[in-house]
Amino acid sequence: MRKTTIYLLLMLSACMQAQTDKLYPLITAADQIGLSSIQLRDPYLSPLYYNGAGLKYVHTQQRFFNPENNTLSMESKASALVGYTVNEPYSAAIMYVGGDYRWGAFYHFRLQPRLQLLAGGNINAGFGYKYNSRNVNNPVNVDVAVNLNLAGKLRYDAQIFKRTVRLTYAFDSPLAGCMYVPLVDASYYEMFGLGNMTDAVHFSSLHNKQGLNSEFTMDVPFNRSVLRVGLHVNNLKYQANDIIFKFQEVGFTLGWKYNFYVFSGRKNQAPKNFISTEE
Amino acid sequence: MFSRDVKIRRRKILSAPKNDFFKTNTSFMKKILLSIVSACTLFWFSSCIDEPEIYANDNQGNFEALWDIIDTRYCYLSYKNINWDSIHTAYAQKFNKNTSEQDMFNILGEMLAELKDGHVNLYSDFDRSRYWKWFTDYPDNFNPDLIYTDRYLSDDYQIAGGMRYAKIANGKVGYIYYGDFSSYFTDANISYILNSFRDCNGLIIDVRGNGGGYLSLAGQLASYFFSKETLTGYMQHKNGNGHDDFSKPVELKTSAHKTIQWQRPVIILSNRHAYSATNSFISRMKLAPYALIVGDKSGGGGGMPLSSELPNGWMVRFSSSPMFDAGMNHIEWGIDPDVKVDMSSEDQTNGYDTIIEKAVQILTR
Repeated sequence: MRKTTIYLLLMLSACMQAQTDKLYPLITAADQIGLSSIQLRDPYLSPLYYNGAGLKYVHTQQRFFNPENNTLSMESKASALVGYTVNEPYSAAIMYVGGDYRWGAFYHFRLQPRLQLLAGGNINAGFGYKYNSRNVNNPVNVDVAVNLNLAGKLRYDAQIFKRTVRLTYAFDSPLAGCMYVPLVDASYYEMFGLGNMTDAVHFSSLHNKQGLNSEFTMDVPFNRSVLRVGLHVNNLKYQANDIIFKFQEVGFTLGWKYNFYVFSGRKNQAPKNFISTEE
Repeated sequence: MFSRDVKIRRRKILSAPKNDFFKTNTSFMKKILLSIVSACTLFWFSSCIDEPEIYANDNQGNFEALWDIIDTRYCYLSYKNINWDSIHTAYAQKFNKNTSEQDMFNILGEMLAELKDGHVNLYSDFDRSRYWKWFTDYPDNFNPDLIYTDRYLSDDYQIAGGMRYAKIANGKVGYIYYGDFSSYFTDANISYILNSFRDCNGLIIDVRGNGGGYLSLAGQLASYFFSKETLTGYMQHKNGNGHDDFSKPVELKTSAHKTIQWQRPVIILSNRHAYSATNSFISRMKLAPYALIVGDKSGGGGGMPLSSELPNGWMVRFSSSPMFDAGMNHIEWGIDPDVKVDMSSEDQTNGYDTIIEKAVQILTR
């Protein structure tokens, strides 16, 4: 009986150790909201510059592909922006609603113990809806684009007031893709009502699309949370059909960063020491 | 929490640089990255996209901006034989830097009136320039008070989707007045209307005084009178700054409605105030199998207008996409009726609408 008990205890101990041997690649996520200053120029709607403000939301997730290899990670980022801009004479307004999703991968260079360089790229799909209520027959124009971007990050862990504050500069810039740009005199009635999309879809590359989307963030750890403060600048210019578009955004965001791991399915169940409300 | 082996593995993974792959490939990766960034930077700076200059927000700048918008984007300069360069010379002398805002608006409005186009307007906070001679220089051929007398719609007409309708001519003719192609109607509206006229000899659709609206509604209304899809016109748009830079014409087809069909006589009443989308509707109905156009020539307005802005924020509307009939003829100046009828003042005095009476005569003979 005593021997049986000892064997059972040893087996139980072995099982518990097997579970704790597994490495879990945490997903590092962040949610941010903020205010942005916007400047846009859409010659399809107006030759003038429109300036205004917007409300932005960003959700980011990053994790290593393989927890055994901490040099390659994936990142996804979804953002939404709602803005209201006016022309300089204040005679008309353009409402802007935009969204963007990008997914990419980074190679981690650990240059120094506190300094990392992440180099890689991402693919993004972006959409923007611009509405000028004063216009006749061309009140709306949409931005639709898919891009392959060069992306990078520089991370530095600074010791500030006994806290390790992570300072990050991130950027991405479009290299190639395709975009929707209508002819300035082609009506949406002709394009979508009559199905004539000639000259509306264009290949984009550095010769006709130049942009730099950069963000500086500071992650400040507290007892139970990590505050993320961000400053982002997005400059984008593109041209097709002899018209040049511009979108510029400068904004400030506030949010929080957290880590999590997803347990789901029969083969990826949570360990016994993880307690769920489903139980 | 972790076994000793796991602790060692974690230390190896998390501290860097420790593995061979990282050591041997770091410099190579750095070189590749540097090359890509350098190439991109070089290409980026060598082909920077220069933003175009915007005209100054002064009298000269606003004049040049307006003239340039019409010069590069208005679609009828060649068709109408307008020497836009001469107009620039003539109107540039009419103002100076001290010309008032109101006077400047009037001068620019007069310049736009040279285009003789009802689709061309200049909008400011205090006025809208317009060219209305496409109907003011011609007989009205429509009396809106007359159609509401007991002889026609009377007081108890029905309203559905912007259409006012009733039986006239002792119940032998169905009459619809549709005054605005901005008023939406549904298939259900039309179904009820046409069903109420099922015992009539024919149908009158009166679009006199209808200044236009949505092109899509013009196509939808026409679709109830075609039994098969029919090519009824063409459309182009400008694809360059030259006066003759146009895209290939795109076919404008009028489809046959799948469930609602009026395959009996229908007469469209037209006058000079039937403009823009109404003009397009009349152009389509010219090819409808049982349709006749009665009244006066329509006002035209064959160019679909778009909008732009001047540096001072004034908006300009201008014809941008010319439309044609099925024979590739411009419809800018209007559509001739099949039966030309003018309203007589004597008839009006006696309470008769000459054009409606002619249509009734055709439908009941």
